[in-house]
Parts: sequence; structure tokens; C-alpha cells
Amino acid sequence: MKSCKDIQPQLADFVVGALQEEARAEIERHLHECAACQRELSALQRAGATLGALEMEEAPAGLWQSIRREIEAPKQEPVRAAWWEVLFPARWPRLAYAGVTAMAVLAAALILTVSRPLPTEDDETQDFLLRHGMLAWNDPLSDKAALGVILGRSENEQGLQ
Amino acid sequence: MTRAIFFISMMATVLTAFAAGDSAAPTAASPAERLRAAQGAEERLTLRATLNTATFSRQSSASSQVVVSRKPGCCRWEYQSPALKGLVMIEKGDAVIRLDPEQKTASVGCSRRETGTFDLLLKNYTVTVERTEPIISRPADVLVVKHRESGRLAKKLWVDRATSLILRTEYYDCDGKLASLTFYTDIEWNPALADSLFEVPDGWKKIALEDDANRHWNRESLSKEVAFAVREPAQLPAGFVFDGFHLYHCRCGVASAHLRYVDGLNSVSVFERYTQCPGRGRGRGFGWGKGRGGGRNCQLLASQPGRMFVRQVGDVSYILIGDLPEAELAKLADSIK
Repeated sequence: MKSCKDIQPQLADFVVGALQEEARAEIERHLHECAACQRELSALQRAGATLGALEMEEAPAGLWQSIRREIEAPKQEPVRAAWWEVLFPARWPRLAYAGVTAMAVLAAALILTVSRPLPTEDDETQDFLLRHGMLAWNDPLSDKAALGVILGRSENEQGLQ
Repeated sequence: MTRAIFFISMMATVLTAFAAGDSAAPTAASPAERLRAAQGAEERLTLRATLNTATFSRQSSASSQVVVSRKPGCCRWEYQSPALKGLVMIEKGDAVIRLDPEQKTASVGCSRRETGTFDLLLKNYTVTVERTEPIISRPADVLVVKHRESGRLAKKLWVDRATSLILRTEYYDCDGKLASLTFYTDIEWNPALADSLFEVPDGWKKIALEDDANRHWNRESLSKEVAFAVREPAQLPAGFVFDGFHLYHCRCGVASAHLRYVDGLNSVSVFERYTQCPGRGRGRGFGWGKGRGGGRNCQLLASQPGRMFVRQVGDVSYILIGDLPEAELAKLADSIK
């Protein structure tokens, strides 16, 4: 006996009566025992009923001639748009391009001036920082545990350079 | 007989009240006195404890659990964070020792205890008790230290009512941002601590961080040593006073003059040295001494709170380090005559 996988592709032909007798009998036997294929058959029958309810519409005059012209017309190579045409479509007014460019320049200037890159202390700097930190060790209320972290980190970072 | 019983019961009541007051009841001392007691409390206590500490700078933060062993005159901090690679700091008298287990070296520095700076702190800062809050289940007074002139929050301290030990510290930088934080997570009182905990282990190499640590320098003697005329700032930030002249050799061996200024809680260092240091040019640096007379540069520090300001006049570079606003550091640098 055929499986659902073999039966279901033939259900559409079964609904419209396009199958040979032997194939049709085999599907009917399967449908008696298979609920899944029965549901699939019902769905196809409902779709068919809906399509059948639609009225036939006349094709417009000259449709076939226009399709034929399209088929027989010489094919043209697709034109690849340049990158600047993709980025700056011609339909945009030039004033918009100028505005966008000005905004980009302004943003870059702000980033460079406001958020200056923070320094990474080098050997020379670390020497002075260590010295400064060491003499702060006995200042009133100094947090020596935290100061140790700062002094320790400075030494380790020196070692990494 | 009745009088005797009454007397004994009265004495018992007084003693009970005294004992309770010593441990938990609010103390009658002023906030400034509470702060002074807290400053000295560590010196007389014996304990083994664990604390957590963290520092925050503009670029990064670091934290570590620290095992502290303390007895009068000595303290040892063992940093548990892998990033600090087994760092140990020891304080013994005036000596501050940094043990590097990887290199088996002990860097020995000296930090004198100046008695007058606490009075300076009270002159420049106000202290108030904000509230009471327990730390590791111990009642603590939260003392708030603010700059007297600007009103800026500088420190918060949680002071144990029973012992005056500072159980938690928060330090705020000149921009009002939390810069460091340290707090105890457990304390064992009066443990037996071996003297060897506070010594440099046998066989380790000792490196002196300061030449002539006990020598007192003045401008003339220091100028002679560094071979140029040491200059002092004419205008100090409000509340700051001169702390001392020091001689400092950078790693390339060039002698620098180190002038230090303090306001009781904060400090500013002015290093002066020849620009043509043989070690110059290694690393990225701030680019001082790149050939322009009068050039200057100010940067936030990456690894700790504060700023570094560099100014070059002729052949001499002036490097200012301190937790001060840029404008104040610039003013200080410009006043060096």
C-alpha cells in the first residue's frame, strides 16, 4: 500500500477526475484508512469549490499580440548603476546632498573634539604617577587598599609594555 | 545594709550603661572628633579581615578582594585579583613595601606621617554625620566630608561605633564622580599574627624607590642636585599648602625635582626635569619635550582619578599631577616662575 507521501501529490488529479481507474481505486482505499489524507482531500475540494464559484472573465482584445511582441523583442543587457548613483539617487535634490554632507562633517568634528581619545599612560608617565601615589600613602584618610590597586596596576601595565 | 544594697545596684546600673555606650549608643563626640578618632583607629587595632576594593577611572575600573593583616605599627594587604598577580603591600613604620611575587622583588618606599595635615583637612573640609548604617552587622556612623569652599562631596566614611575603624570608604573625584570604594566583608579581632607577615621574604631583591629618603631638601640644595633652577608656583589652588621638596630619579636615571602640595585630603605633585631625558620617546606618552618651547598639554589620567598637565619652558618640563579641574591645574602651571 502506498504511503501518504505518494498519495497526496495525486489528490488534486483525483478531485478533478483525471486519474486512471486503478490509481483512483488505490487512492480510495487509502482514504478509507487515512485521516490525514482525508483532511487534505477536503481542503482541496473546498479550494476547488471556491474557484468554481468565480465567473469566467474575457481576456482583453490584443492581449496575445502584446505578449508576442514582448517575447520577440530583442533583449537588452541590464544596466548596472554606478555606486554614486546608488548612494545618491538622482531624484534627490542637490540641496539635500549638501545638507547630508554638512551633517556628516559636523558629526565627525564633534566626535574628534568632544570625545578626545583618553591617554594610555606610558613608562615615563607611570613613573610620575607611581611616585605621586606613593607619597599620598600616608595622607589623612587615604584609602590604602584602593591605592595599592592603583600602584599595582601601574606596575603591571608597565610590565606589559 | 539597705544603703549598701542601693549603692551596689547604682554602681551596677552605671557600669552597665557605660558598657553599652562603648559598643552601640551614639557617641557624644563631634563629627570632626569622630573623624580624627577614625584616622588613628587602625594604628591601635589587631585584626585579620577581608575587604573588597574598587577603583574607577575614565577609561577603566579595577577591583580586588584583599586580605588584610593588621597590628599596631604594621599592616599587610594581600590582593586576590588575578589581574594584580599576587601583589602584596606592606606598611611598617614609615616604610611602604610592594612585594612582586613574579619577580621576587620588594620595592621599598618611604612615606612620612605628617601630623599637621589632619588639621589642614579640618580647615579645608566640613564633616557631618549623615546617618547610622550597619556594615557587616556593626553599627556605623556615616561621616560625609565636603570641600568647605565649593561644597563638593569628597569622601564618605562608615565609622564603626565600637572601635572607630573605618568599615567603608568612598572617594569622589574633583568632578564629583565615585573614584574608589573599599569596604570590609568580615573581621577577625585580635588574631595571632606572625612578625614574618610584615617582612620582606628571604632571598627577595630589595629596590629602594627613593634616594636619601630621610634627607630634607630645600630649593637651593635641590636645584644644585638637578642642575637647573627649581621653580615654585606663585599661585596655589584654594586651601593648598606646600608640603615638601623631594628628589626623584626617573627610570632613565635623570634627576627630577618633586614639589608636593596638599590640602589635607588631596595632593598635587609638580615634577621638574630636563626635557632632554635619555628615556624620552619610548612609548606613546604625552609628547612633552617635542621641540616647542612653551608648549603644554593636559590629559585625564587613564588609570586613576585626576589629571596630568605638562608644560615646557625652555629646556625644562613641568609635569603636574593631581585631582583638580583642568583650569586649576593650568593656572597652577602658568604661575610657575
